[in-house]
Amino acid sequence: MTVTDTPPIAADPTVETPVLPASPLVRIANVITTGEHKILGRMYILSSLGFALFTLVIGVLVGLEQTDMGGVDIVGGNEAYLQLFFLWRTGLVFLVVVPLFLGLATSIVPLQVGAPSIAFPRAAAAAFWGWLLGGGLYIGATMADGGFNAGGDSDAIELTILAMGMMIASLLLATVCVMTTVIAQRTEGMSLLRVPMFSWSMLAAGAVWLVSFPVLLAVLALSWADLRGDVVVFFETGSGAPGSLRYLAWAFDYPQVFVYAVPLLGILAEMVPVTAARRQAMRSVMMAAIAAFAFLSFGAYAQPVYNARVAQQPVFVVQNLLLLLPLLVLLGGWAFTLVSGKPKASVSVGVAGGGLLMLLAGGGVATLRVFGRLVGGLRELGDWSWVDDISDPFDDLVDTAAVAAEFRYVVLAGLIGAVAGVYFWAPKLFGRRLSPALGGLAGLALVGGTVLASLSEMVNGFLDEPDIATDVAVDSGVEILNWVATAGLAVVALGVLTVLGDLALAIRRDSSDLDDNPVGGHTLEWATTSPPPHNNFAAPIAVTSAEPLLDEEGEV
Amino acid sequence: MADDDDAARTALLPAATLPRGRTVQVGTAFAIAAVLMYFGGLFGIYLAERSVVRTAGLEWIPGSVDIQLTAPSIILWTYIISMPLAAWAVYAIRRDDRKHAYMAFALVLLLGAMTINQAAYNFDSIGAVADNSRAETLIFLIGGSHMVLTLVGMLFFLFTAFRALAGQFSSRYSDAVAAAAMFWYVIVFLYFIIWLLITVSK
Repeated sequence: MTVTDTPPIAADPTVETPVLPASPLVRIANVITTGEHKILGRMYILSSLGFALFTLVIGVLVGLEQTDMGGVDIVGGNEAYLQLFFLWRTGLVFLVVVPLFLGLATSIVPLQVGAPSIAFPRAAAAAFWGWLLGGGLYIGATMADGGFNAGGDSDAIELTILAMGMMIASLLLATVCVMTTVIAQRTEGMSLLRVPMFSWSMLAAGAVWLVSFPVLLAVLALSWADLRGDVVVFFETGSGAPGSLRYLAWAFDYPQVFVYAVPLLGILAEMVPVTAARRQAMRSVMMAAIAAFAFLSFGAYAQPVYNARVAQQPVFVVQNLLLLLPLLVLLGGWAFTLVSGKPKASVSVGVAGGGLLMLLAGGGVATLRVFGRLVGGLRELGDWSWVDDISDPFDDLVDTAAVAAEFRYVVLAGLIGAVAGVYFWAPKLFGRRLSPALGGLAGLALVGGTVLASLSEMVNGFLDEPDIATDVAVDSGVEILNWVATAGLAVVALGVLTVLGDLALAIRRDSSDLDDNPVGGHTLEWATTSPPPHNNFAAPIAVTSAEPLLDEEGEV
Repeated sequence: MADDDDAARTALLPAATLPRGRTVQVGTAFAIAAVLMYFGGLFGIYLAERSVVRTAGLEWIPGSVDIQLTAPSIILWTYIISMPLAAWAVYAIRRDDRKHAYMAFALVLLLGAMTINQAAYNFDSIGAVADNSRAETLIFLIGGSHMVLTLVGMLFFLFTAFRALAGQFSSRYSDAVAAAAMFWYVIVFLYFIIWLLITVSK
C-alpha cells in the first residue's frame, strides 16, 4: 500500500480565512439538515409555542360553543364541534406541552450533563421534523373533516390517526435521544445522583412516556387497521364518546395526565436553589419524590374500555390518592431551601411557582374525583346512609366537566412550567435575556387564565355539566361559567402571545455584555458561554458534586 | 518496503477518539422498552377481547379461519436459529474476525427475509380476512406489526453491517453490533409470544 494523498498544508494562524456569506437557500438547507441540539431545541420551542397559540384559539372556539348549551351552532354542527374538541385536547398535549419540554431538554440536557451534543443527533433531528410534519398533517386532517368521531370523512379520519401516530412516534424518538444523553453521555464524575434536577425529571418523565405512549400507539394502530377495512369491527360499538376516542380517553385523564407535567418539577428544582443561592437540601429525597410522582402517573393500564371498573379498583384509587404526596415532599424541600438561603426575587421562579400551584390544584381535583369513588366503595360494604350524603356530590364528578378542570390545571401547569424554563435558560437557548417585565406579564396571564379556565369547569362539574356534550339540559349557571372558562383560555392565549412577542423583541436586543452565568446557576450549562459554542464546552469538564459551579466558588 | 513505512507511520499516529461506550446499546434498550409496550398493548387488547367473546359463549376465531401449527412453528425455528448467528456477529467483531462477522450479518439478514416470506405465506393460507371479525383484525395487526419490526431489525443489521464494512467496528468498539443483536433477540422473543398467543392458544 502506498500513500497517494497530498499531505494537508498546515493552517497559518496569522492568515484570516475569509468566511463567505451563506445564501438564504444554503442557510435553510443548513437548518433543515442540522443535528445541532441547540438549534433543534429552539425550533421545538418556537414551533410548540406557535402550536400553543393555535390550540388555545381552538379551545376558545370550543368554549364559545359551550356558552350556549341549547345546541351546536357556532362551529357548524356536532361533528365539527367534536373534531375541534379533540383537536384542542390532544393538541395541548402532543402539539404543545410534551414537545415544549422535549425542546427545552434537547437544548439544555446535553449542556447540563457536560456532553458535546445530544445522543443520536440525526435521530433527534428526524424526531423534530417527524413531529412537525405529523402535527401539520394532524391539524390538516382534522380540519378536512377528519378527527376521531365516527361521522367524518373516512380518508381524513385515517390520516388523522396516522398523523397522530407519527407525532407520538417522533416524540418517543426524541425522548429516547434525551434519555440516552442522560444515561450514557454524562461527563466524568457525574453519577446518576449528581445529574441536574431538570435532566433527572426528563429521565423520570421520559421513562413513563416510553412505556405509556406505545400503548397509545397500539390503540391508534388498531383504530387505523379497523377503519381501513370495509367493515368496522371495533370502533362503532359501545356507548360514551364517539368513534375511537373512547379508546384514547385514558391518555387525557387521571393518572396519566399528570405525567405531562413532571418536567415542571425538574425546572422548579433547578430554579429554587439558584434563587436561594444555596444547595438543595435533601437532594436525593427530592429526586426520589420526582421519580415517585412520575411513576404514580403511569395510567396506560387504566383503560375503561377494557376494564369498566378500573376506577373503583384499589390500585387505581390508592395510586391517585398518593399522587399528591411527592408534590408535598417537594414543596417542603423547596420551602426549607428558600427559608435557609438568601432568596432573591426572580420572574422565572415566580412563574414556575404559579405552575406548581396549578399542578397542586389539578391534584386536588383528582383527589376529589377519587374520593367519590373511595366513599362509594365504602358504601358497598354496608348500609351507611351518611356515606351517601358525603359521596353523592363527588360521585357526580366522574364524567363531568371536572375531567376538563383537571386536564386544564395539569396540562396548562406544564405549559406554564415550560415557559418559566424558557425564561430561565434564555441566555443558553437564544443567547439573549428575555424581558423580566414581559415575563411577569406573561406569567400572570398564564396562571390567571388557567385559574379562570379550570376553576369554572370544576364548579361546572358539581353542576353536572358533561365533559363533552353540548346539547343537554343543564343548570343555567353552567353557561355563565363557560363564558368565564372561555375568557380564561383567551387570557392564556394572550400570555403565550406575550412570550412569542418577547422572543421576537429579544432578537433585536444587544447581547454583547451577556455573562456566561447571569442567573448564578449551579450546574454545568452555566459554565459555558451564552449561547454555547459548537460542541458546548472548550474542554471536557469533570465534576465532583451535583453543583459544580458552587464547588468552584468554594460554597458549602 | 512501502507497506513497512506505512505501518511505521501509522503506529506513530494517536489512536482515534472512540465514540462514547454503550450509547447505542442504551438507546436501543430504551427503544426496546417502547417496542415491548407497543406489543404488550396489542396482546392486552387481544386477551381482553378474546375473554369478552369467550365469556359470552361465542367462537373467538371464526370457523373460516384455519390456523395451522406447522408454518408458524417453522417461522419460530427460523427465528431461533438466527439468534446464535446474531451472537456470532458480535463475537466475531469483538475478535476483529471480520470475515466471519460479515458472514454472520449476511445469514441473519437471510433468515430474517425467510421469516417475512414465510409469514406472508402463512397469512395468505389461513383464510383470514382482516375486517371480518375482531379476532382477524387483531391477528393481522399483531402479525403485520411484527413483520414491520423484523424489517426494522434487518435494516438495523444492514446498517451495522455497512458500517462494519467501513471499518467502524472492531474489538475496541462493538457497541452498535451488540445493540443490533439485542434488538434481534427481542424480535425473536416477541414472535415466541405471538406463536403462543395466536398459534397455540388461539
